[in-house]
Order: sequence, then C-alpha cells, then structure tokens
Amino acid sequence: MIRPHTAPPRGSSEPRSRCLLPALLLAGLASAIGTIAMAQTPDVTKRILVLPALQWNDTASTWHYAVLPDAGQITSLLGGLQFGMSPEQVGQHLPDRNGALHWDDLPDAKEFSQDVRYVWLPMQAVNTLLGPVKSCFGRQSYLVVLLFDKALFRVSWRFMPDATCPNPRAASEELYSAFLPLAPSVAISARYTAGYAEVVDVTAPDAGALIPVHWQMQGQ
Amino acid sequence: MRNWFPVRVVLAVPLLLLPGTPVLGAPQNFDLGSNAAPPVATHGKPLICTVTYLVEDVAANETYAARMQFTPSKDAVVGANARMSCPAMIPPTVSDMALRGCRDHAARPADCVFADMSRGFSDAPSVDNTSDNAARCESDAASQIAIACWNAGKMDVCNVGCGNDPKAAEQAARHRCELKHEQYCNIAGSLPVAAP
Repeated sequence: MIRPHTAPPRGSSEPRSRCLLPALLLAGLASAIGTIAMAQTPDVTKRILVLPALQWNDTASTWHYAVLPDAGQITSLLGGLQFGMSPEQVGQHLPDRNGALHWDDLPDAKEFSQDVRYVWLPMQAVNTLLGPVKSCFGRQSYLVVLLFDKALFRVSWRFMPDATCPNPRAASEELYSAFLPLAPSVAISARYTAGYAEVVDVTAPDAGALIPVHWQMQGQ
Repeated sequence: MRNWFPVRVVLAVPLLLLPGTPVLGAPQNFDLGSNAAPPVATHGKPLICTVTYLVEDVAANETYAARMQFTPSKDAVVGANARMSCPAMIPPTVSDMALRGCRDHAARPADCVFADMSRGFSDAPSVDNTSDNAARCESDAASQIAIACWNAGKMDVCNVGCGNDPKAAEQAARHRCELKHEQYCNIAGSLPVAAP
C-alpha cells in the first residue's frame, strides 16, 4: 500500500526521529545557503583619502601643517591657472580660445546669488588640467572656470557618463586625490555627485560665502 | 498530544551557527590602548607618535584619514620597538580637528562623522552615534588602521580596527563591524598609521 504525501494528522504518533530529520536537513540547507551567499558576495575595497597631516606640540594644544603648503603645486595642478587671475589672464591659459576673454562677455553662473561669471571648455580640450586622471569619462564632460569680482575663484570639473564610460566616478576620485593633500589654506577641494555628473570643485580659500555653493544639474 | 517543535528548534539552532553565518562568537580583541610591542623593530630615527583617525562623509560615502603627529616631549621614551610613545590622553581638540578635516571638503559639514559607528547608525546618522576613541589608531600600538563596512542602501556603515599588518587591522575592523551590526562587512580598506 502506497502511503500518500500528506502531512500527518494532528496528534498522530509519528516517531520523533521522523519529525526531527526534516528540521535538521532544513537547518543544514540554510547554513549551506548562507555559506554560498557569503562566498558569492565579493569583497569591495574602500578607498581611503589622506588629508594633510597636522603636527601638534607635545601637549596637543597647538598645531600646524606637517608639510608646509606649496603654492607651486596648485598652479601645476591647475595647468598654470592661479586664483585671483583676471578674465584676460585666464584666457591666456585656456586652450582653443578664439580671442581674449572679457568679464562683460561671460555668462552668469546661476547657482550663485552673487554676480559670478564662468567660461567652460570640453574636458578633452584641457589635458593640462587633467594630470592625474587615468580612468575614463564621457565625451560630454567639461570644465568650468568661475570668476567673481573679475577674479578666478573656482575650477570645476564635471565628469559625465556615456555609453563608452557609464561610470566616471574613478576619474573624479583620481583628480580629487591629487588636490586633497593640499592644505585648505591653499585650496579647498570638494567632490560630489550632481544628477549623473561626478563633480570636483577646487576653490580659493578666501572665497568666503561662495565656498559652500555647489552646482546642481538642472532639473535636480 | 505532544508538540516536538521546541526540541527541533533547540537541535537546529547550533547548525544555523555553523559556517555561513556572519556572527562571530570569539571574544573581541579590540584593545586600542594595547601596549603589546609590534613585531618589527625599525632602525635609525625613532618613529614619532602619529594618531590616525578615520572619518566618513556619509553623504558622499567618502573615507578620510586624518594623521596627527605629536612632537615628542622632553622626557619621551623610545620603546623597544623604536616607536615614540603617544600621549596617554588625546584631548578632544585633536578629534575635533580630524572631523574638521572632513568638513573642509564636505558639501554638508553635518555629513562628517567618525568612522566607528554605533548599531542603528543608519537610522540616525549623526556624529553623536559614532566614537572618536574607536575611530583612531596610535603608532606606538599599531602600524595599520583599517575600516570595514556594510552598505545600508545610501551609505556605508563602518567600524575601525588596528593591527600590525593590513590583514590584522582589516580583520579587527571586520570583526568589530560584524559583531556590532550583525551584518556581513565586506567593504574594507586600510592604510599605515604613520605617514610614509
């Protein structure tokens, strides 16, 4: 007589071992599934960015930067640009410019409430400002140079994705890592995401209220 | 009528704790103030004390290392390991400066926290739910500092560990993270406590 595959009626006197076996098998299976799930979860390396070291006195009451800021380093990373340059001076350091750059001709940067103007270039045209970047970025990526009171105060790299480079985050991290060792008294760098753009801003330390203002992609 | 369910559960639980579960049962060895001598002795100039903090911008998922070097006091002793001893007490000003290092770069300063986070941090992500003491390693006790995290959706939730090689530091960080959060902490990184 074939026994049907049904649950035993409540109160039936099945032997203890027959009830226990499925529970043990289930528990073993759960453990095995856990092992497989963990083995299949790849380890991810977390990048740690290093800030400039501080040197404290023996009582930890005063500090200074362990490595004194080098103004030449920032000029090199900015391809010869320097904070405070006039539009005309900026124009001399940007490639593919037809004619001089004049304050009155520059468009407004609408993310600022102050009278901030800007000039932009495709990223491919500014190799001198992309020194440490090895990773990919989309063809729509561009660089923005921002001026306030006719003086350069920020350079902003906007890395965009495209079909050939769906995630330009690594490029932005490489650029950001190059500016990070500079003391905030030389340049203030920030990296953030705006819409699908990965952005790195490097700002003059004396830019005051302009420092915390960051670009947002339209429609965000 | 007897119900065998409790017996089954009691017998099944040990199986569930076999390999495959992220909870580690061994006692935690996370003594940040350990006096154990590092195994490698250096030659030449003794290594001055460096206290390294890991701080996190939770909005950008960015981890920063803030190294604090201490000028040796006149009566400073060089340990057998050729490392200067670190101050017995690290004033809060030093921790504050580590946090400020992150805030200098963050879009929102409030997003900067110490990288050693309490259980429940993902529900209440604030600096009050982090520990400055546990987010640092001192060069007289450890040569490496590590972070281990699990991803809680928008942010990484992390803890910090110290050790005398990258693997040991990462293990300490993972152990602490998995014990504290009961999650599989597979996101990790490390770097030397002292500047190269």
